[in-house]
Amino acid sequence: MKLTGIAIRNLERRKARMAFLIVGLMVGVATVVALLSLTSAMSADIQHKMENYGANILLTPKSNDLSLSYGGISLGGVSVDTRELNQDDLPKIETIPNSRNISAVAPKVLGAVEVNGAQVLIMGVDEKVEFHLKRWWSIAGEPIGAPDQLVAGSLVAAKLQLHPSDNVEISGETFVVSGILTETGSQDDNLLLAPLATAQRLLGKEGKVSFVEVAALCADCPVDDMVRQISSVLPDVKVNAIQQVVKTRMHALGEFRNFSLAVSLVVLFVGSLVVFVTMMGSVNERCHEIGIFRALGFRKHHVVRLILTEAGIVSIIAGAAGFVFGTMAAKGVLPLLVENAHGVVWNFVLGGGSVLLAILLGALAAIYPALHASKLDPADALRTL
Amino acid sequence: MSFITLNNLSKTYHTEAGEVRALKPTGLEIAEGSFLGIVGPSGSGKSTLLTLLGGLAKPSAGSLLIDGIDVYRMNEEKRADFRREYIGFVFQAYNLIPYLTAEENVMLPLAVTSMSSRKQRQAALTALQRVGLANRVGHLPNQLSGGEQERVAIARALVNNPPMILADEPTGSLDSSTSAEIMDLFQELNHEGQTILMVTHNVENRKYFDRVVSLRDGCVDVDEPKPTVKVAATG
Repeated sequence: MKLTGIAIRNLERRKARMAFLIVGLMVGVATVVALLSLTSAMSADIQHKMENYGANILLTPKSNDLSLSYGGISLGGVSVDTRELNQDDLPKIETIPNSRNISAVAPKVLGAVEVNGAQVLIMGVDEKVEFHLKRWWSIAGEPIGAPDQLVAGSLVAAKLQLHPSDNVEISGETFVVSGILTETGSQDDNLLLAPLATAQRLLGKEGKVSFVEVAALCADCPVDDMVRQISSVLPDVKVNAIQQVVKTRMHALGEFRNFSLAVSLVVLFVGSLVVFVTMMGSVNERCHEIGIFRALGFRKHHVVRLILTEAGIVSIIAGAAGFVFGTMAAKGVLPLLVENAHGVVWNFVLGGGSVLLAILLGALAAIYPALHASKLDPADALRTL
Repeated sequence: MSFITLNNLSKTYHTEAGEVRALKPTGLEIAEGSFLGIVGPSGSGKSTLLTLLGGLAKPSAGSLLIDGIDVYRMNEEKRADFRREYIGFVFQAYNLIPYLTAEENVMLPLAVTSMSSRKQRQAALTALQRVGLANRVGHLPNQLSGGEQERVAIARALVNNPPMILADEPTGSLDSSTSAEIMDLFQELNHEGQTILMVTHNVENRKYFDRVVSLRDGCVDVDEPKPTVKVAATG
């Protein structure tokens, strides 16, 4: 029999006390695990949504004029900027130091064309990149698959009575409407989408693009750095980061994380206090027993090790149980906080961390009672001798 | 040369009510293989003397030599090792650990040694066989009678073969026939060469001792030694 055996026997015998200790510490660990799992799942959700958000850096021609539009209302004719970017300059974007953070470069050309007697805004796009970028687009029919195919926005289709497979004539050329864009509620509903080269030819803007959307948004992308880097390789281009929404959400998440940290600290403190008070009570209750151990030749460090071993066993159980309950609680709560979340996963690194945290707290809470026990005078502790 | 030597050993407790001289300076020599009874009324200093002999509390003055070792010149931790090696304790009211079986209680002094668990178990079984409890190894203390618990306590005192056993009122909680059985067991051990020092109130036990030291008011009042044992009560 070794000290561990004595510790296990004591815990087996005093089940109620052990259960109390385990619950005290477990609640603390479970709270930390649940909050960490939640913040981690929410961060992952935001990152996932940001990656699906589309472009977050906008490249437009530099203009010395002040904008003549406000809140989506523009003064007719004046706001139409005739400046364009050179398509040949775009490969320079791929040369910036953070180019690996760029997931898509989507050039577009804009202009007005006449279709069935009506003026329509046509947007030439790199169809493969664009449809990948705008994942929320839903198309009735097929996306653009050939140079003579178009996709019509919902309002354009309604106004021009267009249906998939219909033919339309633009500047004497016949195009097939491959699909209709389901209503998005955005400006996209007013567009006629065409392949970039086709639109450039129809608008007489070969080799020119009106603006470029760059998708680089991810939780830890240095977007501001990338804006500077793109500006340096394309000095004549105005580069803006569209990250207001992201910043707001990240800020909210940061506040939630801070709140979680504060709650975790309080709960852990209370849990440690429970362990401390219980262990201290246990030591006082076991004075006599500790006196017997000392009389039989246990050194002080044997008594310390005995008490710490008991605390360690309790901590390991509490840490593992806290991890299980915390993860389950996070799984239960996450759907209430985030819609369509990917869910909380069983993170066994977090599990290991939970056990280590519990051991650390258990040891910290038990060290004073253990030292106190070791200092008991064996004669006083026994009293009977 | 005596096995145990007390040189003017004394103990004074400092309480709020003032000083209490529990043991006045006492000199005593005890030979190896003795069966010494320490008797006296309550408050006479018996328990204090046994506590000092067991290396459990520092004396206020004087020294204690056991097997030539000055017990109180050692630090506290060395004294713990000394107790484990040299002294088997049989406490009043058995003092078994309630959550350990008879076998585990007996193994307790070996738990902090380098002895393997298998050897510990063998030693515990041998000790329990010696006290006639080989069939009760797996029982918890509350599943044993008073006499059986006392035997477990004796087995625990014997398990590491210490040169001396200190027993404090070992029959205090037992009926007369069980007391006699336990005293017979102690006598057998003594006949095998074991040095035993026992505090007792029970006058019936006197017949087992080969020497009786009677204390009164912290001093040796009467000593009935064997002819070879020298006594020098200075208190």
